[in-house]
Amino acid sequence: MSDIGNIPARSEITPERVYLQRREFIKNSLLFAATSSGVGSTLLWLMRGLRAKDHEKKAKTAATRAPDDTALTIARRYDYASGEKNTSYNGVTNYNNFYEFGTDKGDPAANASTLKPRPWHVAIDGEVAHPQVFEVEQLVKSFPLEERIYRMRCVEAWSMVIPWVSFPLGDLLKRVEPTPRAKYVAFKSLLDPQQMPGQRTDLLQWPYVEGLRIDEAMHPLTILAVGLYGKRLPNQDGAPIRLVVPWKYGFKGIKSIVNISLTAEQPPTSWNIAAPDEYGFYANVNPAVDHPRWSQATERRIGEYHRRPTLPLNGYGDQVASLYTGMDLRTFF
Amino acid sequence: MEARRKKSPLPWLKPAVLTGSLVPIAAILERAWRDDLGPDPIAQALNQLGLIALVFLVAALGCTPLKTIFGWTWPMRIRRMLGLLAFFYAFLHVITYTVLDQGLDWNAIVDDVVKRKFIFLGFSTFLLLIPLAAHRQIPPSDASVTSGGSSSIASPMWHQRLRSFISL
Repeated sequence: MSDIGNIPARSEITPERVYLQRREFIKNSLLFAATSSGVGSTLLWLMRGLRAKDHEKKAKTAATRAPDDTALTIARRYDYASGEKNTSYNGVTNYNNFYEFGTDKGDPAANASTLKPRPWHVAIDGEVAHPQVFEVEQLVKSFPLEERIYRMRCVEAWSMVIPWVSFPLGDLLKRVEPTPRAKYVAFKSLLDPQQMPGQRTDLLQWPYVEGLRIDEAMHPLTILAVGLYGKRLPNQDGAPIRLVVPWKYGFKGIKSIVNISLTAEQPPTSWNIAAPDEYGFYANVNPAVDHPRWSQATERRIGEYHRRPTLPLNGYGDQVASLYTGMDLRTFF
Repeated sequence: MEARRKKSPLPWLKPAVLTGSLVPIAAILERAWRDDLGPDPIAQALNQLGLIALVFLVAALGCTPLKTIFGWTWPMRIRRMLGLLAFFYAFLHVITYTVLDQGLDWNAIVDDVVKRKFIFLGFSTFLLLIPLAAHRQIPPSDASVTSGGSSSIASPMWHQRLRSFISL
């Protein structure tokens, strides 16, 4: 027996093995925590690229809407969507293809606040008796505005039902009196990379251009929209004035128009320039003609779960099929 | 005293990677629950599951090269698990497409698979993964890779499918 004092009983000493195990346990726990959270957050970060940066976007969307939320005076209302349920305002204003502000569906809502839609001038020229430049406010005041509820079918196989505030394009064209040589109508969007940052990329040729045959343009269903849901167009939906042709794929509905020109020749159109085998000049909604990369037979209505069949001419055949009698819509897709 | 039991090194590795790897599915389910997957939630879930499957496939296929090039052996410990995770996410991706997206409309699905190259490639990749997963050998043993095993070309296939889906 030594006299070094209170030596604990042998049995009370933590065996070295256990002592080491405890350190090991703590070390392993920390490594576990670090690795699992590292793996988890890396994967979430990767997914984030695909996911609209929702929270930032919601904040910015509010700012995008803020400049002018004034209600428009609506003279008449028409439901051209057979009573189908409107897509929510949130859906219509946060799920957009508007490459001038980015290629993700949420990008336009996030980025379009750089667009200054007021004041805004639209020049109408070409084969017309009275070329003119209109201020959009002037147009809004001079035409009785109509609410038109239309189906909107995107070429990407999704669709919406949107209550546009609008006036018929034909009514505007009549004011400038197209000459007999006018066979087509060419439309041009704003070209300004300051306001439209997506134009710094070369995804498409800028500015975005579109076109219609004159009889399509004069058709009473073809409208120029200045609002939706009773309010001014939000920037991401093509403020302050855009085309809506409900029996054609959505990309025909050129946004933020600055020029309308009547022409004798068929004008070039943006998506047709970019991919002529995928996007034609006519771009009529047609479930029988597939896009090379996907079927057009069905569509998903935004906000709905099941796909629904796509209707020929988007369900507007009774009104517009006569425009295409004798034409093979497979050739003229 | 010196006879500390020789335990397997890095005992935390597998459980940690597995836990982290289940975060994406948890996140997708949680967002679906909160209705936070955007206006087209099915497309969103579809793309995210496909991306994660691709990430795991590439990770699983990368284990052997890491060993060869850097002499790292730890990736080999989790290689099989990464392969099974790739299959797990690919399976969810396929289920999302067939059940949620197409509503088990087999005519439309067959039509899609036959007509669209990227769906055909993705679908064949998935079919190739099934026997591998069944044998719990994803990626396959070195022997089958060097003998021209199909999974050595699986990665570009997946990549192409994913690219096409994103472009959609």
